Amino acid sequence: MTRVLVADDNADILESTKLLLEMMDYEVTTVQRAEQILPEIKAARPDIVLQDFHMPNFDVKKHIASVRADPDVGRTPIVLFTASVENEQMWQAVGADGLIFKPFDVEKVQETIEGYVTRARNA
Amino acid sequence: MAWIDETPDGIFILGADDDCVRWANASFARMVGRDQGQLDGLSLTDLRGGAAPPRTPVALTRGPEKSWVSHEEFETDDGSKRPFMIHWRQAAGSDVVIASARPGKVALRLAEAREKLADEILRIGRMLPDVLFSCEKRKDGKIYWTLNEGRLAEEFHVTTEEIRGKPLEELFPGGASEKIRSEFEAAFEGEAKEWVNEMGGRYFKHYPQPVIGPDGNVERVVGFITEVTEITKAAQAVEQLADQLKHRVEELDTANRQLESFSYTVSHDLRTPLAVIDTLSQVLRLKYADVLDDDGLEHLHRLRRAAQRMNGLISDILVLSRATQSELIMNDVDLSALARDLIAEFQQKDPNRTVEVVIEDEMTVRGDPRFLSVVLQNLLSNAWKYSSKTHRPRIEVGHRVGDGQTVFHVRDNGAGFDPAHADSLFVAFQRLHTAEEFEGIGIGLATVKKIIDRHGGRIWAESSPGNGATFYFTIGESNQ
Repeated sequence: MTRVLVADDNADILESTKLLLEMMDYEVTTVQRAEQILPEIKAARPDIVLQDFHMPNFDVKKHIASVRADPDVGRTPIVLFTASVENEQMWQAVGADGLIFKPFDVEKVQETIEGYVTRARNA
Repeated sequence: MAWIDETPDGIFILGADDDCVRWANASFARMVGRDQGQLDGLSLTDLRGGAAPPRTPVALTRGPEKSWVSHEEFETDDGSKRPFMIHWRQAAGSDVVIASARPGKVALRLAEAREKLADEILRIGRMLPDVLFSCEKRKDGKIYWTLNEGRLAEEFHVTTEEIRGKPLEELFPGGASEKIRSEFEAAFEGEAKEWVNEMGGRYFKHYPQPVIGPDGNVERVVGFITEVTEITKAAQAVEQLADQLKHRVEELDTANRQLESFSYTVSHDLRTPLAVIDTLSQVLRLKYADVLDDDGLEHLHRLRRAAQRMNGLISDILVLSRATQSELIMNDVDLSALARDLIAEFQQKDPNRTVEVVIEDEMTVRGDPRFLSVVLQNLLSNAWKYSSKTHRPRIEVGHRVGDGQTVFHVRDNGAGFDPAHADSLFVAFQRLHTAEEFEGIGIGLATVKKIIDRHGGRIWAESSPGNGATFYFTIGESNQ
């Protein structure tokens, strides 16, 4: 079963996203604070990380760099999500693998997860 | 007496008692064009040609030694008059006056001209609404006026006559201010600087001009004073208005920035609960579809559709906010390619529609591609939307060049609008159609206008109901 780690500072988002992803037969773990992300990646070994672009007191670029630097989990795909109208190229600037917009569309989320997970596995 | 005959000066002797010539030298005879002998016995009045009144009364009486100068006009033998400057000298107790005459043409004319000029200047000066002045510094170190004429001088009772003998300090009620004193002192130091003083709410501008004497020092200061109350007050008013305006602009700027960041934050924050609603409605649909009846599923469907519409609106507001706030990053933008991509996107979303689309090739402008794509996105999606109920819809994107300016257009043959409302098209949240007819909240064209404005261009539209609409726009002041 594909394991997904979801990180968002909003508990409702976290809970509803977990529900949605579980219905799509993903194994979901969640973290609400940014500093929990890396330890959780190491502990849960997710196939993909979905995390909020804007979490409080959080430098997303630095965070992604520290994940990438880790020899064990460094290749885990990281997809950011946002409620703003970011420049769609902004995710590249911070080193993420992709960007999806809130609110999620079931099909789109599924498509995104499958795409990145497959690519990571084949790599 | 030969030498005295031939001296260049005309010399003659007049009896103090009878004004008659006792003797005249040859030079004088030549000067008045008569024979030397002929002159003896002629009276001063005869010399003057009879009727001419004396310019300077010659008091030919015995007394202490005296000498004086006068200008005379003597008649020559041909009847014409000739000017002379005469030096008169009468020895103490003598019964004769000795006169030495020089042709006075230059001296006389010059003196006359000077007198005339002074008189004319004075007359003109008195007519002027201003003050003409001349002042000098005397031995007591004080400044005195020798001339002060003009209507202002009359108004303040400081004409030459009225202030004769009064120094600067006494000319102003309560004494001259430090400023007035120092400005006049500066003029006597040789400075020709204009200055303004205020008196009882009126403003007077002084234009002093130092006059340098033969010794190299300032001999006196001449100049004029003119009232500048109106212009000063107008300038003050303008300055005040400019200050207020600047202040208002700053306030507006701040308010605008606050509003923009507010709408950005609000829109962003609105999305989070919306995302929860949307996600949970999907969860309900997927997980609880078998426990809900058809009505329940329909409500759920509507719930989600409403959430998505709201999401779309928030996006529009965010785009408008961003179009206002973000810095423009200029690049060459291929409008033709952009338009083709957008139409392809619409067609993909709406595969059952057949729309005839004509897009001119190679329309390139200088602008921010992110925002110009928003412009075309809005104009084309409007054209796409409003032509949806038209038989054989057609959308056209092109340009015309006129007066050095390129005008682009997006044209459709759809519903169109009432030209009376053309102005409200570009105002946020103003809609010309109901949401039932055509979806939307009326923020797209406000965003378009904002972007075009920021690119230094203009946008306008032409239409009539049922005959389609054409949107025209320019990018930048002018394109060569």
